[in-house]
Amino acid sequence: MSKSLKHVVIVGGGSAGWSTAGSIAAMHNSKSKQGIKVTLIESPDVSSVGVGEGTWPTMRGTLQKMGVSETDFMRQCDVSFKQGSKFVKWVTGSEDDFYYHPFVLPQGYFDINLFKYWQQDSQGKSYSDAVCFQEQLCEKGLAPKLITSPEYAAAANYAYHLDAGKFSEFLKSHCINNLGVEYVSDHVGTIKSTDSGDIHSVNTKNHGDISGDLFVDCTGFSSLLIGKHYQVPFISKKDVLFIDTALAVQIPYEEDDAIASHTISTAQDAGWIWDIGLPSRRGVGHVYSSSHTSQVDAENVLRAYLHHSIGEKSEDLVFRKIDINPGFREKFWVNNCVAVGMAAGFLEPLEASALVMIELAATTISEQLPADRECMDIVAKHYNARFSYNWERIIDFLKLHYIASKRLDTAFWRDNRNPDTIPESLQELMSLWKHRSPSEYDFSHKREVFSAASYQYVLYGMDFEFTQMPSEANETEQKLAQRMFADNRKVTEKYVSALPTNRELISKVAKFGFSRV
Amino acid sequence: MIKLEKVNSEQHQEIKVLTEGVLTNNAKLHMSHIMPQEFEQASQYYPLFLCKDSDSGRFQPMALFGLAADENIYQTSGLWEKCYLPLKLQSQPFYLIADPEQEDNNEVDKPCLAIDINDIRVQANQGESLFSEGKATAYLKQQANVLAELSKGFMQNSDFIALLSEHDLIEPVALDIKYNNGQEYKLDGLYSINKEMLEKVPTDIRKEFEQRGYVTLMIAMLSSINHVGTLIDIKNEFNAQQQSSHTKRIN
Repeated sequence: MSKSLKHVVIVGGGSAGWSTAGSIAAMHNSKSKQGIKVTLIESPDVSSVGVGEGTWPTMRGTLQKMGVSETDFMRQCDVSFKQGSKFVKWVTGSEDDFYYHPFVLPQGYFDINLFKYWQQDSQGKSYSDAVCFQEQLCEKGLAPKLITSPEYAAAANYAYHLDAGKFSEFLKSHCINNLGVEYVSDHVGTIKSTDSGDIHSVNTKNHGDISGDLFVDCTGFSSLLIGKHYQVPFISKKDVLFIDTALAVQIPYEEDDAIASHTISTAQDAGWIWDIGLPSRRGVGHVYSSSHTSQVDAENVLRAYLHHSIGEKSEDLVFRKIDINPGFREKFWVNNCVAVGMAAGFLEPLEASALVMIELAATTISEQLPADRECMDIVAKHYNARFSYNWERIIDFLKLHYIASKRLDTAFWRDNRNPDTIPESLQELMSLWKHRSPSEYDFSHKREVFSAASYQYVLYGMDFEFTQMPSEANETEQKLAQRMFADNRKVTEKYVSALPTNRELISKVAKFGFSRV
Repeated sequence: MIKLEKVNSEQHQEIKVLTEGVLTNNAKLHMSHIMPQEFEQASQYYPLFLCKDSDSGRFQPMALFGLAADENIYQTSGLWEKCYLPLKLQSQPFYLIADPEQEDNNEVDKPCLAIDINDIRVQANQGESLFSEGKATAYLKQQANVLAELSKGFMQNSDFIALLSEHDLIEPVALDIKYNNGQEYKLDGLYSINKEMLEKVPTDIRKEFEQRGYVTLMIAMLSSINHVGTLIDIKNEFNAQQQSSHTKRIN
């Protein structure tokens, strides 16, 4: 009989390590003697990169499953609400150029495609504003719920902006104190293998050999197990996504400044700037292609951007430089070792894919946890296929933002539309989408990272050229469409008058907290 | 609009308060706060629920007077006069406020007595005086006592609620009301005690509940829900009368 899986060893902490530990420990009852044992080894002097300050709405379910209170999480991780992204100057680069990718699905999404009716008569509204109430909430700085809403319940679908360093610490103490995760603070040195090539144990400086049945590589860029030990090649995607450098900075608020409840992404000559509002500060950064601009110029661009909001103070700021090597591993699961987080892959933070990929990996590993060693190879095969697919889809979706742009002003934007840099899978879809909307047919996997609705928001937000199939208008559908537009106007009005500002609600969470019911 | 003034013997020497009129003043009030010391008494007349305070989201025990916004069935049916009047309403038109003169120093908030001078019962001609020869009257002292009871009650309520939440004993109650005339109404935002969870509470916690008198409060709250049925009956009767008088008029 094959050896049954009893002990998972996670190498590395950070958001990746602690999320994986939390998901497995909660689902497999690690605090009981009969449960799966989870050990996390974290090096005492490796600091985490602290990127990934934006999440997807899936984070609500992820935290809830781990038994985390939303109030505790919000208070301890410097959390604000996120209702989507606002893309500024991505289409033409003009001053009034912006569009939204909100988290709430278009009105009547499962019954009707409103796009063609919006195209016939937009009534001066943007696509996202005509079909979804959330753009107005964001524009008016409103929160996605009330203080009377229970934990994790939403009036408008929402995710979070958070302090990634505090988030790791928070998960760490939850994992150790409430979920029964064994914690070892030590350096990992040599790796001992079995005859079959499995990892038998990892050697630590002060705790000796630690053996396990499954090893999770959460060692970030250094990719200790999957990269250095198993030598799994890294597939660079720099030819598709040009951005390879980030300059990041934290900006304190002036008294009572509004806290944006969406990520603001503003296009620049050779990249874009993220602007994320936490309760205590903003996180701002310029990501750019080093082949298209110099660091000095990139710093000046960031300073000029910050000058709009904080004036002279922008001149003394020191920026932290982070290298981005876009791409992912050829395989993620080899033998009895699986990589999660930056050890598996990393992309520019457009659309906040870092934390959502960690969640997806942690959830899949917990739900698919092989019963014994024999099953593990099958699970690994499926896992690798699924996650290669996931990474490819994210890359397609990110690239979409660049190729749907109409900007011609700099080489960065022109080069981005060179067909040689566009994945074939995306080129095919773009051909289809000239005549029909992105649909669930195009993204048929379970747990797709981005649904067809996301593609619709981006394409139509960016004025994508579209020609209708010549067919008679269906009167019933026409009526339904008009009703949906009217419903959206009504819901927008209702929420705009009922919801508090983002800052108000965040202060109330700090003071009173949400109830569980 | 409510307008609060800190009560003092100089400014309010001439003011009088009508003791009648609390009920008509609250004719559209559809719920009011209930304190632990009056739970049992109130539960004999009103359905008691927990509701979330719109400003803080925190649970508060409330007595329900109506089944829709701005509805007070006790008042419209004339029943109210025969019912126990909750402390919160007894205390009107007086309130406790943070002392405006103390706000700047670092002492612990000591609340002070205030009066709503826009309350229709506050005038110069009839009723109870607040002061007599510069000294508080028995009436004012009694009102101050009611307010002291109230503020004690609010604190006890918050301990009670904290323990209920800690043990996941609060659950939402959805009232789907169907009146005899076919009209349907869904009343939400009400919460009560989750009986199933209550049975699972460990013995030591149960003991704590008993010692602190919480079991009595929970029983009062759970049994009081039957009054919702009575309120529906009264409304059905009222609707039927309306209907028949309407029919008569047409004929």
